[in-house]
Amino acid sequence: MLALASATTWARGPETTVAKDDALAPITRLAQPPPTQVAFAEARFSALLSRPLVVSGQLSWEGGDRLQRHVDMPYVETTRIVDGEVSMHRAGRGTRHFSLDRAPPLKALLDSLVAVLSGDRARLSKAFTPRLDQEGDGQGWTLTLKPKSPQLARSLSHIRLDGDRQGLRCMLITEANGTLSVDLLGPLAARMPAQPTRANLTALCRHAD
Amino acid sequence: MPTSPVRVRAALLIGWLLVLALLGLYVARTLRVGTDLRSFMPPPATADQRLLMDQIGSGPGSRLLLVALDGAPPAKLADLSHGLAAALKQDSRFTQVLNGDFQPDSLPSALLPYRYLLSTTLDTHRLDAAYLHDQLQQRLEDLASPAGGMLETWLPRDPTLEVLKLAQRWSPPHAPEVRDGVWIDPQGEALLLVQTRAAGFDPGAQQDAIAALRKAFDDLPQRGAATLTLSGPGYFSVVINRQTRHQADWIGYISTVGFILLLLLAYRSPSALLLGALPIASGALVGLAALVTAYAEVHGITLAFGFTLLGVAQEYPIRLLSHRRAGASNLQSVRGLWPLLLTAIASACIAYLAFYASGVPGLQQLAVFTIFGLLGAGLTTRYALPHVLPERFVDVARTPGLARFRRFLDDLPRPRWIPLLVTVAVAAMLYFAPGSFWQNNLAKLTPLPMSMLKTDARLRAELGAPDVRYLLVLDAPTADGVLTLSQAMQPKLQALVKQGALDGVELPSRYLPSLAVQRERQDRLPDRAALEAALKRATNGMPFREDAFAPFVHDVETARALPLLTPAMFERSPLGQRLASMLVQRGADPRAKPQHAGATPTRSWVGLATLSGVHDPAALAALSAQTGGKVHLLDIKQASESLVAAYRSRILTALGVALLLLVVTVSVALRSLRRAWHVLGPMTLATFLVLAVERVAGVEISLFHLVALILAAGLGLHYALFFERETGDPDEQRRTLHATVVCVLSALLVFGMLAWSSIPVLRAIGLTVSLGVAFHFCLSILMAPHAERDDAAEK
Repeated sequence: MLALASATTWARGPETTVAKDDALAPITRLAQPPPTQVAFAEARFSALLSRPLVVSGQLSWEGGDRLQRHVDMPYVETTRIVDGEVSMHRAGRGTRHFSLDRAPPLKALLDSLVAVLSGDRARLSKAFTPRLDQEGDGQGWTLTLKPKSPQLARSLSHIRLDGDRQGLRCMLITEANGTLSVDLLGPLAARMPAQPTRANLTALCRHAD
Repeated sequence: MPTSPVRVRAALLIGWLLVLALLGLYVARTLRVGTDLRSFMPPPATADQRLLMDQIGSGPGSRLLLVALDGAPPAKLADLSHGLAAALKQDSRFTQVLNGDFQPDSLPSALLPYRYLLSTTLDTHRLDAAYLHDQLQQRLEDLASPAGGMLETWLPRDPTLEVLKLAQRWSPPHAPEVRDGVWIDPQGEALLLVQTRAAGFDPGAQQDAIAALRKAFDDLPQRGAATLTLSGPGYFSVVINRQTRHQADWIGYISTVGFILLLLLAYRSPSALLLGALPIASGALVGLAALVTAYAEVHGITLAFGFTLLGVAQEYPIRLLSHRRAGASNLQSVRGLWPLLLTAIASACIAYLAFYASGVPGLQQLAVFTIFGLLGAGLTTRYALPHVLPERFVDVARTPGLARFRRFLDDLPRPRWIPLLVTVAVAAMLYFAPGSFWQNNLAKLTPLPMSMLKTDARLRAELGAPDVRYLLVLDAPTADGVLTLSQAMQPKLQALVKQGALDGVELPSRYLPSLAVQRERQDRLPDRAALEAALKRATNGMPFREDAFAPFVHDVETARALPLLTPAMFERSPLGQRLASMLVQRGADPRAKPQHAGATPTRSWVGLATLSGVHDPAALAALSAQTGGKVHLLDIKQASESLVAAYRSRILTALGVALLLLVVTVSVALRSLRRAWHVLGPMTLATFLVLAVERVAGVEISLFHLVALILAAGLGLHYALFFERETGDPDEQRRTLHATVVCVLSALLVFGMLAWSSIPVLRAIGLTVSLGVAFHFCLSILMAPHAERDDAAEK
């Protein structure tokens, strides 16, 4: 009850603070009312692949647990998550439906993203152990989320969100098998290198210009 | 015969009790009680009945338990569902546990290469460069999609996602929504489907399985307030069993107390009461000893009915107790009664011999138990009881009010037209009775609370569990023939589903294709060199590592050389259990008799396709004509009703034969057809009167009514025999009346209590026997000849 009340207080704005949760304050400042849309470019590094897969498009949050990921390069694909149900439509391939529960890392991604976008710290701390690192100038920050449930930990190692005062810059998802996806968000999306590597992307995310 | 001194009596009594104790010990050490209801079914006559007997309880639908978990938030219920499923999968009492959890590794590793023979992909495609290129392009897109993580580990081994296709093919057709990895229905309950190894209609084994399931649930950590709801045929059989036993028990307690009070009142002697119980105890033990000697396993129903039918034997000591008179020893009294008692015992035994001829194993056991029981009780009443009864007693002829009652009965008019009147009334009542005469639906005798049936219907609909009533039967000489036939039927049934004749069908070939189809698919698999070349061309320009698909190449190479998957091999895997219940060899039931000459003995394998939501049985039945009878719709309800009807006709035949034998026995014993009529006339008329009254009251006659009618007729025979007895002594007449009244009252007490039961089986027996006892008593008096004569003589 207390947690819920304080969460509501937080959502109102950064002026009201509760000392204990001060650490996550920069995150809650990002809270914005839905719907919001942001461009993304994603590179996926997998042991199966000799070079990463790169796709780009828009991510939209429609409020609640409704999220849309629209890919327009190099092919068109729309994934919608609505109330625990995932539908994936790819041009010329039809639509595939599956339950969000069949894809625990995707559920974790939704949890973390929606929690950050709605400033819901309680939700963040429920599923993850969050750790916030601020850079010296107070401009940049990195939020690392480690899954709490051992079950989820079997497939997901951790999620890293990088941001600054303006908002989220990057989202890095490291799966348990070592596969890494890096999403460059907002203006950064346009700056996906022609030859992305783990190193150059991490650098791009960390260092606000 | 000189009076036995007290010491001799005591020694005799101790000896008797010792023999009983030894018998009891023997019975207790050998008795094994069975609960399989099939042994109370007649031998099947038609192919469908035989299939029903094989399948009743062991068929795929009837072994299914529907489980719902409730009382906690869905996420918590999901954890419990996972925990319960994991626990039950370890338990050999369960052959299949489904909770909606998708596991690509549900196919054992050794069987994984078989996916190319099991999946339909190769029917329309080859693993060539073009197909692989298209597939791998999709996989790249899959990898870059949010679902990528789900597939990544499988891709090296299975780039065409055959395992996923198989999982989709094998998941229930109308499964509920999956949340947190388990089935959750709209009410927020977690649902599971559990198949037991035990047959559905074996309440003993089901009880064991259900107890194990409940314990597994109770043992789950952090169960909290969550509750478990069960449904399904096996669970129902357990509930019915428990309910019946519970009611029978408390009714038994009450009527035992009443019975003891009645006897105390009638004989005013506790020792008479205790000693009077010895013959029936002897009878029961002798009957049991005969049973355990003759049969390895005694059916529970045999015991329940047997003890009921043995109630007749309580008459023997009652007759002896009532007919003792001043100036005559116990032995002299019993000698006077013996010819009549012997006639009664012999008649009853002959009637039960007819049961023995019925050919139904359960009824044969019943006959053995009752015949030996009656003989045991009768012979001990004659040869042992008189020697242990004290010689001092109260002559019951002096019972206050008895003389007046006798006079009242004697004064009743006895018009000769009574039999005619009763016959006409019976005929009229039977003619105008509402409803159908016979109750063929066994289910109606074992009612379940409406709420339970509603729960069952709801869960069944949520889970898309198959109908219990219909099965589609596929006949072929071999198991593979069944699978071939099943494949051929697939498109026809799909068309019927489209037309709305039914909601869904689950054919055996859904789990395992025929050998021919497997061979065809195997032949289409490329060799290693061809596959590697195709892969190289397919992945040209893609970012896959060169050796990324080595496990795939290895599996395809393995699959090319695999021996084809036979049902026997497949059934050893966890998934194969589902197929095992759908593909059975005929004649698995050792009781099944060889088929008739006209039948087709070559067809020895049967496929059972489960159907859900059958709306148009006629359309399915028409398949039979189209396939020359190789495929037909089995209506389990109809088959079981025809089985019950066959059962009844056997009992009725047995009864007819028994009646003829009775006429002969009684006529020979009484050495007069006229006297035989005075005994058998009231008995027969009263029996039909009970039937007619029950029918007019809207009761449909079941097997249990017939068994109860026989018991009542046995009692009625006693009344008529004793009332018919020629005796000029008014005291002796009073003693006869006393004995009969005690018998009637005790029967009314015991069976009248049963008639109040809410369980139809108990009510049927109670009502029938109570009515029977009353009618037999009245008609025996009204049709007794000599009372009129005595009446005239007294005047």
